Amino acid sequence: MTGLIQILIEGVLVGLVYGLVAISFVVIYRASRIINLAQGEVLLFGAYVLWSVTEGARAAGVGLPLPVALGLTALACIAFGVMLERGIFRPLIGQSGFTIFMAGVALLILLRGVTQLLWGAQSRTAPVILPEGALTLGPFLANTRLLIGALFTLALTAALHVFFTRSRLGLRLAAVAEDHVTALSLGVSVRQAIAVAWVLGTLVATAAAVVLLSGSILSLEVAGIGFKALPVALLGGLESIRGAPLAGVIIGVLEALATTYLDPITNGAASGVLPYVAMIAVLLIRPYGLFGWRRIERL
Amino acid sequence: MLKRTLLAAGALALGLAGTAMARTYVMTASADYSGPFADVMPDAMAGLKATIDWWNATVGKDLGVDVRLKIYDMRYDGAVIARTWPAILAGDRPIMHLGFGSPDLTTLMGRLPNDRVPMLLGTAMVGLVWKPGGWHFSVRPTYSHEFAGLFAHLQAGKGGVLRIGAISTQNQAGFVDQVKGVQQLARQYPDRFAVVGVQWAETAPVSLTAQMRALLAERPDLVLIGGTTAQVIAAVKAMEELGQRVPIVTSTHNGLYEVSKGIPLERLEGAMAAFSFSPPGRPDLPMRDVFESFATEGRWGLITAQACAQAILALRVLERAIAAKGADGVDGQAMYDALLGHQYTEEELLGVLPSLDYDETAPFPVGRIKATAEVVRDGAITTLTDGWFDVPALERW
Repeated sequence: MTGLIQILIEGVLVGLVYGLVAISFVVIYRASRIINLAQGEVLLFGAYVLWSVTEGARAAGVGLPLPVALGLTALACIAFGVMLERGIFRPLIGQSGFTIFMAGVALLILLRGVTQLLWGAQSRTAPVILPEGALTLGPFLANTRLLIGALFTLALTAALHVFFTRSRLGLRLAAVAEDHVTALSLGVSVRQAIAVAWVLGTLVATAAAVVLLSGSILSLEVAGIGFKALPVALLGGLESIRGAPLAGVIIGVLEALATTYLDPITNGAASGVLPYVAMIAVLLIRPYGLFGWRRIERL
Repeated sequence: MLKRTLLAAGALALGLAGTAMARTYVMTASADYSGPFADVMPDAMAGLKATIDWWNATVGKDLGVDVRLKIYDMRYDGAVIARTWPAILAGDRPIMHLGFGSPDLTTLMGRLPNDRVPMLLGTAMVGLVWKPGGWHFSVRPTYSHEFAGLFAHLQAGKGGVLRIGAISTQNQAGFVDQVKGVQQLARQYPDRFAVVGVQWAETAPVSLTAQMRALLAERPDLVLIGGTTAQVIAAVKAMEELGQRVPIVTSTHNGLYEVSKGIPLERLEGAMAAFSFSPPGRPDLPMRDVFESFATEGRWGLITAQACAQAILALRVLERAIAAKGADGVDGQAMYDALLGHQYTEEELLGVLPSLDYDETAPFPVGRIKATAEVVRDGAITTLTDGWFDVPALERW
């Protein structure tokens, strides 16, 4: 029993990291009705900016205090989010979902190229931002980095939920997510909403990069986490801030259970497949996800 | 004035004639300046260049042959290789291609026998392509052979059965193949080796604690991680969380130098990397002297030693091809025949490789295969032993 609970703890912690990345998808979709396929690349960009102002700056002989480095990273990410909105998605306001979807594909390719151009393809040491090691809770262990990430995810979820449901700006963003043209006719600034969405999405993705990569290796491959988190966002419902971490927990726990109990008899295949089998099963019953709005679009 | 002009013209003509007398052959090489191996590529290519420059200035000069190295950035991408290769064949007419990694292997191995250009890799082979009659070869055996050599050495020191745990990924066939080869080792030598558990994970895992806990429950003597650097780092952290330390065995691409970029060597104490060319830190290594005398760029290290090993074997093969066909008669077929028709001693390979023998049954050295290893001791990377380990014979898996 102790073993099972330990597995569940690890599944929940890893799942909440997936959930954190998924929130960055949801924030953008919720406010702008755009599924940003390049969210993994946005995360990667944030991670490289963070590397530049920490390890990169230190290598250049300009060591910055961590709070300053984090502040600079946040500012750079805000600028990056605004740039994406101004340069790519603002001109597409009012266009079809398919056009915006294809712009996302183009952005994915563009960002990979730009990241490689700016920082090269070399793997780098990600800065240690979060404490390493594990916290002992009776007979159980919890990875400190993941535990902090999980608590951050839960706090962020609560804060964003309040923002989207209680604040005037958040409600405007929801109106934009309903329909660009209708929102415009109601006097809601679609431009402002989408700009806010991109800034939020970029910041959340960079926060996810901190949790994911603290003290590890940063390489272009990290962008793959985007495609791991997209199904989590779909499962939770693309409009649901609170659905993303819950779906992350479901995927994380299923993955952990499959790793322990099914991988030994399936040669490692189960943990990679089972969570997504469960996701497809849920989507067959609730195509809009567990907590998404009852609206289905076919691209 | 006229006399001076005539003298200068004469000197120039003699120089040109001298150059024209040397027969030039092209060897092409795959590089990866913009993919996953971008950070080590300058040193790798420096190793190829230095070795070829040395050969041209010494052996080639006496033979009247000059080797021209043409490097192509294939980006470790099969699609790039597939579209570049026809132009290489038509434009460069290489006598041998110096390949790099699985993309070269999987993209080119099927067509090389028809193209009549042998390919020699510096990266280790995989059992997946262990088929007879190919024109693709490596200076190294399979990853599994290299691990088997180290395991045999460790088992001999320990006695009894060496209990091997493994963490790998299903995302890349080559990494699955490493594990299968080690499982074959355990099947063939059950009184010496046992694979007590295999855990599968992502190439860049969020955490490996669950996998490591399950693996450590099987009480392995060591944990084999031949996949990625991120996996090794995650495994070290997972063991620290669990309060246990079991030596990790890696390969070269995710080896000690790469891992130490992400985690201090003090936390890797006892970790090992197995491979089958000389460790760069081996004392009195003639190949290192060559590199340091002729290199105009790059630093001596693991990837440099691997590239030098690849280049020196290619050049020794060329010498045998010239001996058989003459300085003007070498082509891809002559290189293929020379590679398979001779044994190459450690001495003529300048100590960077053990003595090698090839035949058409396998794309890697056959006979008495050797391996070696590095280990982290007292917070520094050092050679595990001075010499080579004998690799136990493995049947195909």
